[in-house]
Parts: sequence; structure tokens; C-alpha cells
Amino acid sequence: MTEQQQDDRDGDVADRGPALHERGSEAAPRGAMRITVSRSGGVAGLAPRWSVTVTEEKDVDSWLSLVESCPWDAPDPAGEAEPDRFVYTIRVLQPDHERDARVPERALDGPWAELVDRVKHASR
Amino acid sequence: MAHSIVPPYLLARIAETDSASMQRAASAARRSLRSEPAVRAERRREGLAAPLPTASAPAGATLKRTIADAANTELLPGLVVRTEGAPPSDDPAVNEAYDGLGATHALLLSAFGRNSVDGHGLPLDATVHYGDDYDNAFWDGARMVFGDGDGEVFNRFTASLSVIGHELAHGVTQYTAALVYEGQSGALNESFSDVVGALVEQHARGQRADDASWLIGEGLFTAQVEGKALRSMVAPGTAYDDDVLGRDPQPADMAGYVETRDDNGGVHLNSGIPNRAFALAAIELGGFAWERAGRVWYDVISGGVLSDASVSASGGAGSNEGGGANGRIGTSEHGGAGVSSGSGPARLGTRATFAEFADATVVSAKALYGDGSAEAAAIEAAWVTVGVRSDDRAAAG
Repeated sequence: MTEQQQDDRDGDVADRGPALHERGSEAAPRGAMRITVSRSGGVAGLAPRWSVTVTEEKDVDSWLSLVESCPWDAPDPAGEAEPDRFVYTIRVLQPDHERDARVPERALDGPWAELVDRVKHASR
Repeated sequence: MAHSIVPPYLLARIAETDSASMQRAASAARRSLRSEPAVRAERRREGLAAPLPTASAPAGATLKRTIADAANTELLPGLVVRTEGAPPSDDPAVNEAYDGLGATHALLLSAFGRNSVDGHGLPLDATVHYGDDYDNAFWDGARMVFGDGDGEVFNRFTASLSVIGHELAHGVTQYTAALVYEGQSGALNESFSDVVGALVEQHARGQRADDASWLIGEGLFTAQVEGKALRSMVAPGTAYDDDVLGRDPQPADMAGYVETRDDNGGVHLNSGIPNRAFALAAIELGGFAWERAGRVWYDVISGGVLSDASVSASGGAGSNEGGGANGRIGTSEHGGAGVSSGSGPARLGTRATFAEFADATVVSAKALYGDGSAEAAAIEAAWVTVGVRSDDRAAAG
């Protein structure tokens, strides 16, 4: 593993980056956005995280469209926690809006899956 | 659902394991309780002179393996590529899965007298090449599923016999103690899977406790990762130390117990504590770990002596012949009794805590081997070392 990869590690999610802090609640409705996907579980027990910060308006629009297609208000899927399966925590931070969801691997389909994949790709 | 084709880890942010602040509360989930009366009926206790485990092996135990190939999709079960008795495939993943299922079946049968995962000869099914660069293996409640790994951090998950044993042991727990996969009971569920994973590997190699690596998932990391394995049972927290993956975060004792909402309450982290207790007890006892320490752990998980109310906490093993036949492990919300030593039967609840599990192992060891036995002493001492029991408790218990 290289130095560059180490440097690329992210800080705590509470550090939302200067763009978000500076814009504050006065920002345009479609201000900067940060999306973080964290994964826990799996037999290895590792906890990788991917995140993307979007500032260009056209990019924000594109991401927001996908974000808003996800079922954020759906109840947690019923059923028991499954041994060694992944659980994804997806969080979207905007200047005046924050949402998160916990999605078990088995329920990761449709827009959730698309969003997670897109964040993974964008964070490379 | 499609997974990233390129390994996500290379540029991924690796989160700190205790970054619980961003996590939403995981909803509590309960595992269903299932019993296995036929097997328990066969588990006769013969007082302090413990019978050889093989003495209780059910007659007519059969092994029926079926390996399927998901061809890098997430569609289960996939196409059947090898059935029981068929010659080896050209695909190493298929053969590793086949052999690993066989090795696990052999341990369960010869060491514990258990006829497959459910105790009733359940056919063992597995699917290999699941998903796209899928970095995981799991038991889905009915079959084993193996990913190929991403090739950058992980090799194919069939490469580790201890991981195959680990996954099948989740099936054993599902059919027996049904430990809820969350918090301490979840970490105990994980730990028992690691115990069985290690034992399968040691059993297949004919390895004694003090010669064993006590590593889980050896060989899964690629050469690019600075690490030996996923976990070390004997030295939790030392399995890897890599600049991208970080350092193995497992605690080795209760002082390091991790409170987190991730990973169903840190089930893959805090399992290090009971893992170490098992390894220390097994090494102290010497010989083959599945014979004494392993037997006690299996006894606790499967109900065994503890499923019979006639067995007191001080170890009255002679009076419970076949008494566990219909014994169900406790179902109480708080994990049943067993906290206070010498106060009656210790039943393992589905939400058992470390302390309750520890007590149950001591009760079981005394019932199987005697109050003053080396087995009970070694197990008690191990729990003290990892901070689950105090010296006072151990002396009194």
C-alpha cells in the first residue's frame, strides 16, 4: 500500500469540509453536497468507507436526483441480522439538510445499490 | 446489485472502527430459536469420566456436498458443478469448498458427535464465485457462499479452511444456541464460529493446541497487505497492521471492549475477548484443542449438560442421562440464568453476555470433567485473564 493511499484516508464524518461550513444555511438550495458510504460486517470485519464531495451545480443536480430516488423514509427492513453479511450506512450532508440510512446487504438494490456503486467509483 | 469491479480499497477511506458518531442505531434483531432434540437425546452424560466424543457419534451419519458456481453473479444457488463423490474439478475454488465442507463435517462428527450442521445430516451446499470481486463469505441460513475477493486486498475466500469452518459454525449456532447477532451475544456467536474454524483447521492438520497458529483467515490477504490473517485468537489485535487497512482492531481483554453501533455492535471486534479465552484454555490444557476445551464450548452452545435442569452449577453430572432430550436453551430476554455461580442450572440465553457464557463453560467443564478438574481450572483462569471473570469469582465459582 502506498503513501498516497494512506494520505487519502478520510477524517471523521463530522469534518464536512470548508465548502459546507462556509456556505452555511444561506447557501443556494442546491449547494455543495457530501455523500459517505460506510460498510461494516463481513467475515473479515473490516470497515471501509467511501465518500464524494460535490460542488459543481450540475454535478449536484445529478447526484441529488439519484439521492432523492432512494427510499430514505422506508422502515428498516424486517428480519434478523445475518451473520457475516455487510451493512451499509449511507449519509448525505448538505448545508442545511442531512439524512442517513442503514441498509443491510440483502436490501441493497435499486437506487441504493446505484448510489453506493456510484460513490465507490467516484471516490477512487 | 452490482459491486465495484475495481478493488474499492485502493482509494477508499478506511474508517476508524469506533466512528460510531455517524451511525444510526442498528435495529435489534433476534434469531429464531430452534432446538435439536434428537441430537441431544444422543448426548448421554456418563458422570465425571467423560466418554470419548466419538462414542456418541450417530450411526449412519452421511456427508452430502453440492458445490454450485454463481459465475460472478449474485444469483443463488448457481449452477451445480460438483456433487458428493464426484472427481475434483479444474476449478480450485470448487475443490477448496468441497474439501472444506468435508473437513468441517469431519470435525463436527468425530469431535462432537454431531451429524452435520443441523445435527440431522443436513446436506452441505455451497456456492463459489459469488458476485463481482466480492470480498466476503457467508452462511445465508441454508448454504455457504464464497466470493472471489478483489485480488488486491483479498484472495478467494475458499482459500482459508478456518473461514469455511467459521461460516458453517454459524449454521450450527443457528440450529442450537441461536445467539442473537448483536452486541455480546453476537460477539459470542462470532467467537464460536472462530473457535470451530480454528478447530477444523487444527483437526485437518492433526495439530496440537500449542503448535497451532490460532489464526483465522490465514492466506486470505494478498501479498500486498501487511498481515497474516483476519484475526488472531491467541493474540487479538496482532493479525494485521497495514497502512490502508489500519491495524487489527480486536481487543484482547475486557479493558479494550469496543462500544460501537457498527458491525451489529462490534461483533467482529469484541469476539477477540472470548476467542482469547478459548485459545488460552486450550493451550493450557495441551493436546488437541477439540478434545477438551472444544468439547466444553460445543457443549455450552449445543445445550448439552446445561439444557438439563437437574445439573447444578456445582456439577452434578451423574444424574442427567439423556435429560437434555427436550431441553431448550433459555429464551429469556436477558439471556437466562447463569450469572451467579452455584445457584442452579446455567442455561445459555439467546442474548447471553460474556459473563453468562463464561459461567456456562465453567459449569459445563465441571459437569464433564469434575469440580477440581484441570479443564475447569484452565477455563476459569482463561476467563480471568481476559477480564470477563474476576479472581474472586473464579475462586468462589
